[in-house]
Amino acid sequence: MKKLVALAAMLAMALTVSACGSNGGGSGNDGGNSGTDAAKTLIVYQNKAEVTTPMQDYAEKWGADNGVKVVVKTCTGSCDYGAAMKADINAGETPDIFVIEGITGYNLYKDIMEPMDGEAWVDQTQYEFVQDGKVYGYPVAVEGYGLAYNAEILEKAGVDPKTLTNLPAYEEAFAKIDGMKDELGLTAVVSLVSAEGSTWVLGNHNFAGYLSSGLAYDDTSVTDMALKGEVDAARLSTYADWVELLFNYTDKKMLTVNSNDEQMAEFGAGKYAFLHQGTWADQPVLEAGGTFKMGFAPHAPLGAEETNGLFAGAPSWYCLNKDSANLDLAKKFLNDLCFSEEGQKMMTEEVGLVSAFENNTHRPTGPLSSALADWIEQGGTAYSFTNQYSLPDGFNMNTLGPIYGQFALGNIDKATFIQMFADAIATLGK
Amino acid sequence: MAAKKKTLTSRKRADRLTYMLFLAPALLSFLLVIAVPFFMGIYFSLTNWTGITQSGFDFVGLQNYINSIKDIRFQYSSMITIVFALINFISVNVVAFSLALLVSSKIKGRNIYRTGFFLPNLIGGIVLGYIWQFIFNNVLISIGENYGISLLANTFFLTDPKLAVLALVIAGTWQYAGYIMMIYYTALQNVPKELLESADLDGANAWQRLRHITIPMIMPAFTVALFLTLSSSFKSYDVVMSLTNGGPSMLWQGQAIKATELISVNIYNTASVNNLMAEGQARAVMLFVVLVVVSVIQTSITKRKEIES
Repeated sequence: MKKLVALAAMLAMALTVSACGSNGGGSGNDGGNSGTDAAKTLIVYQNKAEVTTPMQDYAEKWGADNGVKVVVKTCTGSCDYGAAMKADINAGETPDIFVIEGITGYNLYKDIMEPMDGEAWVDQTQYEFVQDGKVYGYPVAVEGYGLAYNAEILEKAGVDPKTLTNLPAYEEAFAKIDGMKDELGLTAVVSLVSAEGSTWVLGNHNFAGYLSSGLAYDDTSVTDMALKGEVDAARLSTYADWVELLFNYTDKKMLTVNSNDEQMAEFGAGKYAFLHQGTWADQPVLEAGGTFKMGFAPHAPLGAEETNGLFAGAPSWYCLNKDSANLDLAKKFLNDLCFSEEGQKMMTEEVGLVSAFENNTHRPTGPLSSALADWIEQGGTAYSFTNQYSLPDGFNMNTLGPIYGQFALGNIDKATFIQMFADAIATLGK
Repeated sequence: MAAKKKTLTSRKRADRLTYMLFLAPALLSFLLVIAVPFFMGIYFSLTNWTGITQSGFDFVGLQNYINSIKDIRFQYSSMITIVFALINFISVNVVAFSLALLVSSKIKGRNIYRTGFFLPNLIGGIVLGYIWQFIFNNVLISIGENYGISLLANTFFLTDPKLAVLALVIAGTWQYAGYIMMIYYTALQNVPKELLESADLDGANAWQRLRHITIPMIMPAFTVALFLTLSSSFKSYDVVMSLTNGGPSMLWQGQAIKATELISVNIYNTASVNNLMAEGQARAVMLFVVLVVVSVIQTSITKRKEIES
């Protein structure tokens, strides 16, 4: 009897401990055998799926030329980069080059980050990550989003995307397209999802409309207010109108149960006129057969007030581990990535990203990335790409996410939606 | 006499050394892999550790535990985990025991059934979750549309909090029942045929034979099966992550929260998404304590019912 109880307790202990252990672990995709021959190995730990193979090929050649073995590790999709980094750091295997996605990453890793002021690449970009007057991050690319549209469908429906700069214009256009759904072969007007697990887009990209639309690129006033727990009531009210409009023109299945994968694929298949995603959707949209012409229209979260900018900027930055045994090689790796023809081509034409560097004239071929590259070339307005990431970790997905979900399911009305947002933001001030 | 005694003790000593040597590998790995991290975990739950060793951290006492208990989402997670665990616990065992009776009867093709029922257990929980997500989001709906069953066509299982819990139970049972069935099946093979035959001759019907002979004879299997299902139900994680991801959202005490965020998912979200590593650890410690208490109670109850043989 006693033995059995002891055994049960032991088993329970073993099971819980291992369960908790694996929670923090994450599943890194190891690109090679790290750890061996540490002095001659440069570990690049990045988080973009599309970068993996091209960078591995590039790094292999670069490594051969520079007498070092470069291991490109990737953690993307269901792999939790933050958790995997923690595991690596605690295991004493901190990568030489790693990725941050903004101020949160900086705060997590600032103790191990090497400043890069004076590096040659810094003069070629306006997107480097700067904190306290020091350069800490090499911009991986420029990404951006607005409301992506299928230009062919808009043309058939007689909607000029250039007119989509405020809420009344969108209301009119959505109603017009909605009335022609059968004729155009559409399921609904907008492809947008709110299911749990896919709330990143709403909580971050859509919420950016409240935080940054219509403001100067470096204007953080609304974000600062939110961090103090204060709400700009007028902005929040027109923002709720915008969310309501988007939800009203998305079908129930897409809005409430589908995932981001289906959201992008169905747009690519021509079943929706608009897609609430950004340049990163190129690959899935193309795979679903989306070869039609696309563009981005600005979000309209300010009601009748005109908004003419896209949210664009560097999504992530490469950072250096200051304790790296190969710090000089790591710096050279980044400079070569910026200046060498191979590096420039790899990041743009092969990977399909818009370069953050002025000296790089190569362009990506993906339809959405091309649209953004055009926008940048034409000197289009940009709104902050990062304000939403200064909110505490998990706030956007775990706190705001379910509120969007309730609004999408029709369980709360717009007034409650606004009130719950105000309440949620108020908790930030504590 | 004295000399003999001496040789005995020295042999005893040598024996003890041998035992220790044999024990050492298991004991050492247990200490290193389980005991040490476990106590480190308890220690970290009393600090404000963020998951990075270099940053340093301060001792904050029971603050993480207090914050957790005050957190509405954690309260809801604890409650829904208990509800889910109970339903899942009953569902898995009822299905598993019925299947075990089925495959140990003389039914045709029982070997195929045995393998078939066990098969879902070989599919990883993540894959299984996606399979069932597809069934709930697409298959059921298109069946409803094609056969004109409007209830099926218009019900999104995963948007209703109650149905979403049910969906988790269905997927969980589908995955785990085959495994538990094997435990019951093995035990059923060891029930002496003579007992059943003589009961049959005495006029006991099938239900009476099951109730008064088979079930008491396989009580040890119940102890094991109930323990396994109870602890695994409390710790369900992978199926939840891929099937519902904590969704749908729901209103609870005036806040919008995730309806199927079971406690292990809540621990993950706290530790890795909200980046409150120490608070997540504190919640894991609480889960551990609850699990030990529940398991000890359950095993001592079922153990009492076992027949001493």
